[in-house]
Amino acid sequence: MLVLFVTWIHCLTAQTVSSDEYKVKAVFLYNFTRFVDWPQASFEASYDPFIIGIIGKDPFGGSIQEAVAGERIGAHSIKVVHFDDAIEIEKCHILYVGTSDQDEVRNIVSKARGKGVLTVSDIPNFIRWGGMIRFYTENNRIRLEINNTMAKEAGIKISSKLLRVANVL
Amino acid sequence: MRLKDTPIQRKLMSVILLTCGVVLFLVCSVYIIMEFVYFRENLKDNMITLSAVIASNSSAALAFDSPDDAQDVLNALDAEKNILAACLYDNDGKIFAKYPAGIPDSIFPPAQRAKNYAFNNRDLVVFHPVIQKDEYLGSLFLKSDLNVMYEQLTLYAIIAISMIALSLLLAFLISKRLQKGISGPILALQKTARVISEDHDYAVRATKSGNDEIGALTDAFNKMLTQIERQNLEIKTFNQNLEQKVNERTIELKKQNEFVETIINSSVDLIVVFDKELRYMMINKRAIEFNNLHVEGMIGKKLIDLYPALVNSGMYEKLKATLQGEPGYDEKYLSPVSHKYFENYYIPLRDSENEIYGILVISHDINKILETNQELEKVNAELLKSNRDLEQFAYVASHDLQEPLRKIQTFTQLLGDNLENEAQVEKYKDKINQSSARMKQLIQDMLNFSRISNSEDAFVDTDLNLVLENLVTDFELVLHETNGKINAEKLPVINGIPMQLTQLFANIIGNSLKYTKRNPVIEITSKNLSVEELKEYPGLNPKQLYYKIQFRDNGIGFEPQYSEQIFAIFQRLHGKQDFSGTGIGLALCKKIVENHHGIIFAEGVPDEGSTFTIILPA
Repeated sequence: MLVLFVTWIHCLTAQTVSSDEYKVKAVFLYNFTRFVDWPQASFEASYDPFIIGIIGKDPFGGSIQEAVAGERIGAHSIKVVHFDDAIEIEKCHILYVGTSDQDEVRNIVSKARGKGVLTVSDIPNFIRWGGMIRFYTENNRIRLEINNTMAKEAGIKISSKLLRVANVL
Repeated sequence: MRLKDTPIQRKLMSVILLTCGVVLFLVCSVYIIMEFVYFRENLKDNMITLSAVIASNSSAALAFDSPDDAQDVLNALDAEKNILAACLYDNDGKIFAKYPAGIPDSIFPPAQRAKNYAFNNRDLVVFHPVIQKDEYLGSLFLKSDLNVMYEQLTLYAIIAISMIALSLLLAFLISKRLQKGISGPILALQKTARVISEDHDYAVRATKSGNDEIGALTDAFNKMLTQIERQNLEIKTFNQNLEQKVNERTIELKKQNEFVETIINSSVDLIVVFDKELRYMMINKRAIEFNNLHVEGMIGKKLIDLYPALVNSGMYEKLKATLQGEPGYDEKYLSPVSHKYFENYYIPLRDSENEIYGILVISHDINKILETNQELEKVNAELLKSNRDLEQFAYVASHDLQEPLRKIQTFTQLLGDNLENEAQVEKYKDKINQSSARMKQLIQDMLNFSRISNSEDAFVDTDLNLVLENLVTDFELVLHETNGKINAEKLPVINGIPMQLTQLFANIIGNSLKYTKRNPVIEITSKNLSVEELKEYPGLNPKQLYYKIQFRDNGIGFEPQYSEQIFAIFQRLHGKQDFSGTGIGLALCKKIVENHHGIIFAEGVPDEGSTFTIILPA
């Protein structure tokens, strides 16, 4: 515990921005599960896990694991899966896109499109390239940009409350 | 005014208004209390609903760290006028957003995760958790002002009071009209009763208004009046008879009283009645006049208070004894108040139960009787004395007068037998002459003596110096023969009979010159009798001024036991051979002094001399 605490202090002082930023983003990722309804078809069985996927670079460290540890979404347990390619990404319910390569992103987005996958990323052009939710920083706070049209197309219902706190395009 | 004494009209109205008032008050109170409870519940429900909405709306702001958005949500509370303050706590209990914007954090309590509410004095606070799909994100705090509720309640109270007032006014107006149905007949009945009691006209009847209880009361009242009227007539008749009897008795009693009073006031005796406390109850006219009393101030006062001097008197003791039932009697009572003598009767007065309630004191004035008695005693004593004197006089006179008579008889006999002896005849003739001369002298003295007793000569101022001067002239020859001397002080002038006083002095001086064997010297002294000396002689009047005149001689004197005897008539201490005399001189002196209301006495020492003292009033 002490070691953890010291580590946390260390993070705050030295490498604050990136470390804290991704902790928050990890929590945000988890929080999306509370404000978003996925289509019934996205689960084959009621005991299927809820999958949070990460493709490309994983900036979270263990933050996501920490954030979802022990949590459930209805009957579903939460599972964090790292994808090396875009082949199976349609299994995900939330997909964090960690790459910034335009072609790669477009490929991922197109693959996920209409499949009930909520795509999330940090990259500035993510929405323009067909992503659903983008994190950006404003006044030292992490803000959201949402393309609700894409979400609707995928059968994902984003709560109006979430839309209200986000910048909806 | 107490309720019991208020008129029935007001009582009825009071009852109605009070009932209305209490009922209305209770209804309004219940209504207001219910309103209060309902209002609280409602407010609480509203607040909880509101907090649920706000909490729901702020969930995303908390979840995605958007205080601006949270602030927007809270700012929506502007529409709710009664919200005083609100805040959102994040998952860690830190304040995330607050309303109104400028309010200090310190007014917010620590976060509570559970749904909760609490009424404080002036406000209602609500905690509501912010949960999104089972995820606890934070907590909402709302503080609502209760003033609105209180204002509402005040408004209700004002409306209720106005309603009560209005209702009471209506009740007043309605009951004022309606109570007449009840109070009217009662008042009419009361008015009738009052008229009857004031005018005593029992022929009046009350008018019946209906067949209710008051109607029955009216009937009973009228029935009673009929009875009263009848009884009144009987009583009146009875009273008239009684009054007549009382009047007759009063007149009779008055007459009796006056009779008794007249008798009591006509009494020559002093009559006083005391009550048990020895207070004056009645004093009769005689007692008032006798003691010159002011009777108005005495009745009801205590004897002892009016005459404290009586405390130790026999009268007070007798009065007390009489109160114990023992009648008292004073044969001769000297009143310390009036200094008069009374014969007192103390009679206990008893009531019909034989209890003593007072004392009747009857005082009989015995002063005149006592005076008369004294007078009688004096006269009696004088009579006894003069009787004794007469007896003595008669005895002595017969004895002394017989002696010269017997001598004359004897010598006459001897003269008859010896007529031839001339010498003898001369001798017997001389003897007879001597005896008859002596007899003449005796008779002369006796006449003088008896004359003094019956003397009616006037008392005049008599200068004793002149009396003595004349006498000295008379005695000049004797004094010369015996070589005697009279030395006199200046003598007083006294009120007396000059001839008798001359006789008195002559007899005393003559006596002194006669009974002596040497050259006689007579000293005459005079002085006022002092008060102390006056007390030594009980026969003298203590208020009178007296002179004490003493005659002291150097004669033969006498044995002290004869000091009384020498003043008796025909009493002689010595034989006729030694000293000549009839034995009347000093008796005469005594009589003269007594005639002048004085005293005379003599002291003697044999062979030394005698002193004659006369005390005479000035």
